[in-house]
Amino acid sequence: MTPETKPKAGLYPVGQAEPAPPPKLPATFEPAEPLPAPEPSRRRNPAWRWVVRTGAALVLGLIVLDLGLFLEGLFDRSLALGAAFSLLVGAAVVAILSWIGMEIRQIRKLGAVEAIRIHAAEVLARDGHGGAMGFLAEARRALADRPAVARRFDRLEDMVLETMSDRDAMELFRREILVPLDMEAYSAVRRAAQWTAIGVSASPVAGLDALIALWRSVRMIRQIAEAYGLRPGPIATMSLARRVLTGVAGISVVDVMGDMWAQHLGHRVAGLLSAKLAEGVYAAVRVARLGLLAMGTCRPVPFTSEDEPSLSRLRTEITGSLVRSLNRPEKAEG
Amino acid sequence: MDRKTAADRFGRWVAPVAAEAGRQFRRAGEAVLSQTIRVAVTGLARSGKTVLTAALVQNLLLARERPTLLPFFAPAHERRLLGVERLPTRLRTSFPFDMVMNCLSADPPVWPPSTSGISELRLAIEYRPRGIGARLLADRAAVTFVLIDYPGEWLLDLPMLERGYEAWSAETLGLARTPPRDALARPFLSAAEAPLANAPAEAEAERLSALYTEYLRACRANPVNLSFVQPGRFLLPGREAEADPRLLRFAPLPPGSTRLHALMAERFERYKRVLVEPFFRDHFRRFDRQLVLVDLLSALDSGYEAFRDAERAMNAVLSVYRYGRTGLIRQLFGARIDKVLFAATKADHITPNQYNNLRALLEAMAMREGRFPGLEEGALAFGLVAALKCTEPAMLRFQGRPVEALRGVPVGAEEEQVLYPGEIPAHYPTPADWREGRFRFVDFLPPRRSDPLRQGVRGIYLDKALDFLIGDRFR
Ligand SMILES: Nc1nc2c(ncn2[C@@H]2O[C@H](COP(=O)(O)OP(=O)(O)OP(=O)(O)O)[C@@H](O)[C@H]2O)c(=O)[nH]1
Ligand SMILES: [Mg+2]
Repeated sequence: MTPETKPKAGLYPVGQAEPAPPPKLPATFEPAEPLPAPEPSRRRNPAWRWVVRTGAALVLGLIVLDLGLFLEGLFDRSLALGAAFSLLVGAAVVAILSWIGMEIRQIRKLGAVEAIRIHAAEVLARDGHGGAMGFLAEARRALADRPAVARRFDRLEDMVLETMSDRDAMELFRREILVPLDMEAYSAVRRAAQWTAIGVSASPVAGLDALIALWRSVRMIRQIAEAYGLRPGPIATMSLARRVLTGVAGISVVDVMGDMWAQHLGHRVAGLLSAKLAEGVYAAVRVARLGLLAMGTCRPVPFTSEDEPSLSRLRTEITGSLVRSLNRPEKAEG
Repeated sequence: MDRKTAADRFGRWVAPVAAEAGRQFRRAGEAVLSQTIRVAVTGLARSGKTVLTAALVQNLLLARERPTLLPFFAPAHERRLLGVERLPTRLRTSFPFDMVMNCLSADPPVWPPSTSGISELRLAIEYRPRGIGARLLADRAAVTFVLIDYPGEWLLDLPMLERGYEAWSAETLGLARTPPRDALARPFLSAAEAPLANAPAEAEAERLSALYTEYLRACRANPVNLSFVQPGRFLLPGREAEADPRLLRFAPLPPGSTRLHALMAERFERYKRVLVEPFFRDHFRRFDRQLVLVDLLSALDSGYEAFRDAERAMNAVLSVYRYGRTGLIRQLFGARIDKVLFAATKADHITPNQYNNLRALLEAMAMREGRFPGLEEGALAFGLVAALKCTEPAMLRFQGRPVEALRGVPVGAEEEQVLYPGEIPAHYPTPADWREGRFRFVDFLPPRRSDPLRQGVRGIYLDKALDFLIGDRFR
């Protein structure tokens, strides 16, 4: 607070004062502390790891070798045939590589969500001015890959002024961007859950219902990720699913999947529904819970208690729709 | 066949009746939901009442088409505004809205002139009710938003209503004898303490009132820039006083019982009766909400004495509103004001990192004289506003580091300059806070090419102010 640390208050000519451009805040964000390293996944037996690695190398080597021999044979027969197939193989390799690259990029982006989340928490904690601008630029890059979302960002940028406090800017961000995305993701969860409920209770074969639930969950996770600006392919979706399941601190996968029966379907309700129906609701609630966890994982700002989607509401919606859909044919008969 | 035609006839008869009944019902619903809300904009001279009024109205007029203009005004961002229009005023002169907007959008833009009379602005805001219950009654409702504009000088006449001539004289002379006023008041004080005994009372009253007016002018002027000047009409007479200048021919006197004294006391009472009382009775009664505008920055800029004086003036006015008052003031105002917003104006004169300090200082100043226990929890708020943002953010390089600053064209300058406004004390300041170079605030010209007529007036937190003052009425 010594006078030398601050200029003297007053007017300065524009030229002499070297006015820098207006405070465009750093668009990229460097977290003050390095991100905590992800929890090491369950230790595998190193010997087993070597088995996997050497196995993979063996398969890859065989494929390469086989392809080489195959092409060589073709070249022996005819130059044109060999050249054409080499081209095809080359194209396939490029396609596979670029696909892997895209998946890796998506997985990286998944990691970026974490950084954005820390950034948001920092902006909110600081309670200052101007810090939100950098956050919004970052959020835009992460979220606005669809034109509709980009338009909403345009609107938001029209509203957020540099005179606004960060809290206010973040409130506008929540209202203008997050809430619509939440609704989108939420309806993906609801659709998946309802679908699972009906599919499982209608499935004639045991085992098929599990497949249905799994397939629907994967699709749902992908849709949720897409709502929040991610575009995961199969690999990235799996990585996301793993993140969702391991992200729940203190709860093991088994817990998440296991305690539903007791927790969300009391005996009374279970008694009202036929066993098959109850099974459907059980599966649906499981999918819904997974969906809400996935929303929490993909959302660039943590939920507040105010806008947290509620599982109990979802459950009511699922049960309601299931009962409705099953009642209809009965009534028609009777 | 027969039955069908009968039903037809019946239908033909009943349909218009039903339609008419529906219309009536809707009209009744609209009437139930329609309401008037009056906001008292309370601010001393040059505190920014006129510009702020125009800015609020202009943005409301555009809010339906440009919902991004007022993102924190709930009816606007919820897209429930159906139409906003200015209504003709019935009893009072209407607010010179177009004149003000023309000034701000001229090229180059200028500030509107100081207000010299009272005017009223009525705005009809049609909206879609929010609740299902309300929407069953009517699918559209209206709020009539009423604002009054007046010269800020007149506001300080309000506390005079509570005083008799003797008390007022003692108070006013006491103040005139303390620095920094004493130097300015010397000619008037020596004349008031020794009035010419043989001059006619009428002529003497005229001479003294002229000297007193001179003294008030000097108080308001540079370099002292004081705020507490009574009576306000001496500086800004208004139509009635211009028609009858004798209304203003008086001045405070030391206690005595001369003819002059009696004449002064009588004129003082007449001034209150003819000018002050009707002004407050007719224009300030029945307000629902109050917006207190405080130009803290100018007060700070002019030094400790000016700051304390601005505070004294504000408190003199607010004491009238404070809880527990009875008598005349109670009759004039009733007890209807249920929400009060204190706003530090011209926030564009400081950098955003000082906003929290400014708000804290405003609160410290307003709460020093006591609370407002008549208000419910959450009905009193402190904020800051700028009617029109005249500056842009800039960076000043100081010892190799960038420092937040502002860029704009100061009043009286031709070219843009950079202002480093310094730091606002976040607590109630002591004289030691006026260190050389600690803070500096200058008036800026309105921004060029901001196109307020089509783009709206870009200010600071106008929407939050509106939302606090009237947002809750759009149910
Ligand atoms: N920078 C800036 N200056 C403002 C703003 N509002 C008002 N001013 C300045 O303050 C002056 C007075 O504003 P007015 O709105 O005329 O004030 P008023 O309270 O109506 O004054 P009276 O009519 O004399 O009582 C203007 O001429 C401007 O110089 C604002 O939002 N920003
Ligand atoms: Mg005015």
